[in-house]
Amino acid sequence: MRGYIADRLVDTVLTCVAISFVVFAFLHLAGDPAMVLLPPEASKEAVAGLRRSLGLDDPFLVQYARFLGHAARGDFGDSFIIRDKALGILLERAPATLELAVAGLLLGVLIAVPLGILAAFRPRTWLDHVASIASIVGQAVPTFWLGIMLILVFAVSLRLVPVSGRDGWRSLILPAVCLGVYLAPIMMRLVRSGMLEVLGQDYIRTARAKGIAERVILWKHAFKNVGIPLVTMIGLQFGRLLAGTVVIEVVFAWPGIGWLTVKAVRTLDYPVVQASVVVLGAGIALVNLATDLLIGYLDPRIRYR
Amino acid sequence: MTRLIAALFAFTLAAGPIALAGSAHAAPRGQLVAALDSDRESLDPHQATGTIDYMVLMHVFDHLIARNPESMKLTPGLAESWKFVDDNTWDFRIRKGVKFHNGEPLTAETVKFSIERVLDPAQKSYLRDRFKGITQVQVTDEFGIRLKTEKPNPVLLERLTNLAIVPPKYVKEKGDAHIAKNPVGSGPYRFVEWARGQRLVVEAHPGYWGPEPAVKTLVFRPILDVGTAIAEMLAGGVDFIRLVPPDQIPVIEASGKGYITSAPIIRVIYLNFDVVGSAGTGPVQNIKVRQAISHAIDVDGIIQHVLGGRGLRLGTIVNPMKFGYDASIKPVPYDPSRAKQLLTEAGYAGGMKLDFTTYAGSIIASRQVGDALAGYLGKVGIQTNRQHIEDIGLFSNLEKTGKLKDIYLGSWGSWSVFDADMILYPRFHSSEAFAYVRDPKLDQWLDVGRNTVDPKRRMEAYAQVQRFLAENSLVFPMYAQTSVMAVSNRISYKAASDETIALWRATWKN
Repeated sequence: MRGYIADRLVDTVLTCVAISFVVFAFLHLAGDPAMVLLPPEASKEAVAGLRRSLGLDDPFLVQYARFLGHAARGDFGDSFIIRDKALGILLERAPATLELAVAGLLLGVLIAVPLGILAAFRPRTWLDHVASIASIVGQAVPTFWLGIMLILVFAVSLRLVPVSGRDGWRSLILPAVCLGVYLAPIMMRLVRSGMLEVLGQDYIRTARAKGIAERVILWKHAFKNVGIPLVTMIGLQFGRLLAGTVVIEVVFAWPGIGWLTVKAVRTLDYPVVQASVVVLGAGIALVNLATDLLIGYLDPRIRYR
Repeated sequence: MTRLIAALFAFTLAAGPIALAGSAHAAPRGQLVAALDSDRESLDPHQATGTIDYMVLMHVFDHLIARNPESMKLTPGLAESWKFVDDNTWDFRIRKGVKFHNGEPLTAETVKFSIERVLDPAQKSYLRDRFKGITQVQVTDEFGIRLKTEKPNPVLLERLTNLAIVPPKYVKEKGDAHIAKNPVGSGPYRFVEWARGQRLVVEAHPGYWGPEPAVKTLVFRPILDVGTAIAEMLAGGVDFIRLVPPDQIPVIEASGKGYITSAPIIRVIYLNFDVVGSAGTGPVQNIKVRQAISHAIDVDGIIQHVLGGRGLRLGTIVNPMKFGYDASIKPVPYDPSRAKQLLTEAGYAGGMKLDFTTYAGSIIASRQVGDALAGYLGKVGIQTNRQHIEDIGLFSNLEKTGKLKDIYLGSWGSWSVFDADMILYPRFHSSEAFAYVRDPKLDQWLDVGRNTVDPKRRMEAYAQVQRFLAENSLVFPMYAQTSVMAVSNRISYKAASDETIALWRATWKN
């Protein structure tokens, strides 16, 4: 197990460095922040001066080495636009995104697992059909549109929850539902097909023959075996989930990392974009690491290769 | 429904007595929530670069010169009066007895500090380029200040409406990083709280030297999606939306929750020609092709059908509200057959293909306006290779580096400076990054306009520039934009032509 953990850790660190290089390289192709930062009538000397003071005149690799050295110490520099520590700006907003992500993921699992199991337990019945139609609709509906519809029905007409903003648990409900609906369909189909496969196997038939209660067979014997692909899927979904939060944060004016990053990209605010992509990338890498470790724990065969 | 009636009933009961009290005297009361389409950057007025930051910070900070919201004429701000001593010297009398929100007194020394802070290269203020013509800031007495400029600087007063006055002692003691999060000014509202990405709260300052505002607390919320902002207004959570797209106007009007207020603003929309071939040779370097394009487009039709009648047709790129506008230049008439004839004369009887760039942001309904333009051009045989850029930063980079080939849909907001210099110089002087047109005659007239004090001579120079642009079809001016704001039925507010939001002018309806 120790060798397995060490391998995964090295992978994770290498992934993070690779991410940082790609982000750095792409941003430098994107354009010149000095042009965006200064007012339109700025003189050529002003542009040159700003480029110098931002360190944009140095060779690419020198800039990257400097960036990597600072980043290792958690220093991504000051935001060009907000003129405050890029990492600080980001971490200030991280709780909002994390809260949304966890709530949305939980809701997604709560929707997907029971539906998937029910559908697999009664295949090709009306229940199965309803579940698969729901999953297709859930996947087809754009998150953006769903968000606005939820707002119009539950916040504007029924006045049950606030329209937007982050102000107490009630304001979390709609964005979390939106994210849950976005994530649930794939997980549900995974659970359904996994369960169908397992339920057809001999040991389940044996268990039924022994007269074990259906509920116990379903949860203890069958679902446990669907756990591994499900955990993998949730780990992989984490990246999709962050992409989903960007849209949801904009629709619900949720003050998270997503829209901060989008705005930073638009204004070529290098430090914030770099900090956020590296932090998010590291987050995804860590979740994948946790997933690997969890699977290694769940299935002993995986850790001995 | 019963719930709604009950709520309305309760509201009437609650609002009744307050309404009576309100009509008697106007002590600031209540809270107003304004939705803004972007998040704030910095609360240091010399550092924040966004136009909206400037608008929000106007509630907290004063400027030497202010602007009348109706006439758009310059009026006294912190400067009670000003005098023109000679071509390069301005004297200002500073208002006495003004105090900052922290009690610090405001004197001529304060003003000197603020101007010098902007001019200090170490501050890297985005305002520096606009004021670096100032060579000397002299304190003449406790409330007198004298500014000397390198060359005559007729636009200085206009520009001073952008320079916020900050408290020196506070800035020196607390440092630049602190003021960027905890601003202290002398304006009608004092800063209360800023939760980045969530809200900025300000409260009416009891000791304000000017008229007391009607609304006690203002909350500015960043809501990036206008659909969400409108839903908030329908649910009663937002009282003010700065930019409403034309197709959403009926939604507000039908809701019974708010109304639309609009005003012509100085932002002008035009079709730009790559006359000098900055991005490569193309047909638009031929004057006949440019003339043909100008005849091919029905601008009135665009205003009517795309913008719902909100827009002002222009014959020149200088907005009529600006100093330097030449009213004698009439718009090019819509005449597609003339356009076809000109194209034939130019040797393009068989049609042509042009690169056409549009961008999102600043231009209301820019994509639809771009579609309409492409349609009109198609009718006279000009095919367009259309590129729509969602990212204003990217567009601006391409524009400034001369990489936009053939034609693009451009707009110019002028940073609320009501002077022809602020559009003609940066766009048509050959020393400027934006110039897709270069001509020594233009340079000469523009230099006269920029560095001459006599308004008559300046007017003449700008008239010459505008005539030259029109005669040679160097740009196709289309229309001046109209700002469209949504305001909740609880308050009265009228949109102003300088594109700002000035909620200290908002009043309660009851």
